[in-house]
Amino acid sequence: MIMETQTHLMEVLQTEILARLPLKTIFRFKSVCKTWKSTIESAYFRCLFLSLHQNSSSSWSLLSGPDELIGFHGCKTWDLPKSPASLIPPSFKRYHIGDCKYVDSSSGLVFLSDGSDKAYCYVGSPVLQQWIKLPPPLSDPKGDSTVFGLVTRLDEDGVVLSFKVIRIASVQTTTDYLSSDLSVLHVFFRDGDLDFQTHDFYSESDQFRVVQLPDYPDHNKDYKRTLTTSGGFVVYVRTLAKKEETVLKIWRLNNDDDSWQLLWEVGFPIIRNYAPMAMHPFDVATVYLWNYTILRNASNDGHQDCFIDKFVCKKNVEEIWDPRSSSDLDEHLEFRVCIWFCPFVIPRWMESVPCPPQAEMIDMTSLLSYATATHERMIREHEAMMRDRDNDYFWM
Amino acid sequence: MSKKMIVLKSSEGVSFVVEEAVARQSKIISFLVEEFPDRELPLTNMTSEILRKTIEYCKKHVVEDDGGGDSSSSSSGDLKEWDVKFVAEIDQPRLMDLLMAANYLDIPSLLDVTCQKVADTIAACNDEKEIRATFNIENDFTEEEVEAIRMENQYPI
Repeated sequence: MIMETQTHLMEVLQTEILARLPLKTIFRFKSVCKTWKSTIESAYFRCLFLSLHQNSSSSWSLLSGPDELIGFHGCKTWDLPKSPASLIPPSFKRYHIGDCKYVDSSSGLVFLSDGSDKAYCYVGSPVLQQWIKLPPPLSDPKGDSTVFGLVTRLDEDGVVLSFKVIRIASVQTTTDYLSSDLSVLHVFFRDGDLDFQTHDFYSESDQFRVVQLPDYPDHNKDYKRTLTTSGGFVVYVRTLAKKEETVLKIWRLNNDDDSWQLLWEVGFPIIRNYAPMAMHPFDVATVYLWNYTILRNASNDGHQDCFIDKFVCKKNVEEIWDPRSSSDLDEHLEFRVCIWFCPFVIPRWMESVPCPPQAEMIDMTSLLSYATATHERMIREHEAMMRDRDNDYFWM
Repeated sequence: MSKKMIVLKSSEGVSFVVEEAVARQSKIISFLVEEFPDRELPLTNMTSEILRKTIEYCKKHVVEDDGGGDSSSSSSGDLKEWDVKFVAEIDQPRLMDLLMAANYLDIPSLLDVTCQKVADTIAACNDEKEIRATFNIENDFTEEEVEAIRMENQYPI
């Protein structure tokens, strides 16, 4: 009888102990014994883990396409040795036509396209090393549509329940898309427009809602503006360098009625050209600004393991806001709102990547060897094409 | 004004005289003191050694609110450092006993510190074999099951 009580006590305490480990260790040590495995897989354990870690920030990277601008990995939730974006294999960051390459990310999942076999695409988690090979949609068996974006649906704890990939029948080159971790709301934007469209990919409705920017129709060409996401909301950040100060304004888009709420209006006594880069994915009190020499955050958020690729930041910021590009020829650039900086956030808890019935689950090794084979095939084809062209030239 | 004292008795029958404010960090003792004032409280499942350790922890963490409001005897930074040293000096079996005591007496901060210490020990293990050896856990999986779990939970790091 006493023994039984003791064992039960140990089980209760086992949950308390294991919930204090970083996720990386928790998943690694599921195979210790059956009680550990069932403890870790229980709903109560997940609840306790999330409540113990609610104040510790998640790991995240700020991406521009597959390029990493800023990376944070020093959080206790996961205990990752590298920043989240550096877990995405570099072979997916090549830009050769025909390669397997990075398209988009959402809630810690990454979406890859296959340039040589456009029918198939891949969704997976670089942290869990699980990937799903997705067949083409029934309506488009050859894969003529363009792979465009990834959306995810989350539960109340921020755990991915399901994902959807967006393929678009015809893409205008000016159409752009704000990939967000808002679970369902996604924003389409066109360069030069002062409004944008949002769509809920999980609703029955096929309607797009049109939202005007909060400062419409004010389009001072000296504004530097970024549309991004933070704490589950679309956020619009705007800086303006004045004679005595730099003014920073931040608005949040309320999800239920599409109205804008002004969160911050701050004047810096420093006159510099600050460009808004991003908001902290969970904390609307932290904004990341680029001041053309170094990157600063407006408030100290206590991160120590922070990585900033200054070269990539500078390149990206200058491409967007360099005064030379907003010449008279490119008049629409005066209205440019940056939507290309996306947070790639590792959720505070992760389950296996959801696998749709017709799709196939593969591991990281198979995906990488598949990508290498595709790359080599692409190179061979390219070489053969070049040879043919030389031969043609010879015979002419 | 003299401080109110209470008596806690270990499984070996050794009595410990403690300030009530110190002992009240345990929610169980706090409850018992109100229900049975002026009585010696027998803690039959705690050895003198563990009870002494628990009291040592509670003495350090007692919040003295006689006089100028809430003022802990030490700053929170010092306390954290003290806690780390406190659990570092205890060996594995006694740490488990202390953890059970914290759970039994319902002292949340001591439970947190001891759980974290055990968690750190687990995290420092290289593989599941080392964990099983450290905590005397029997492996009840077949090799195939272990392999299946490993396949599901691969990490790049």
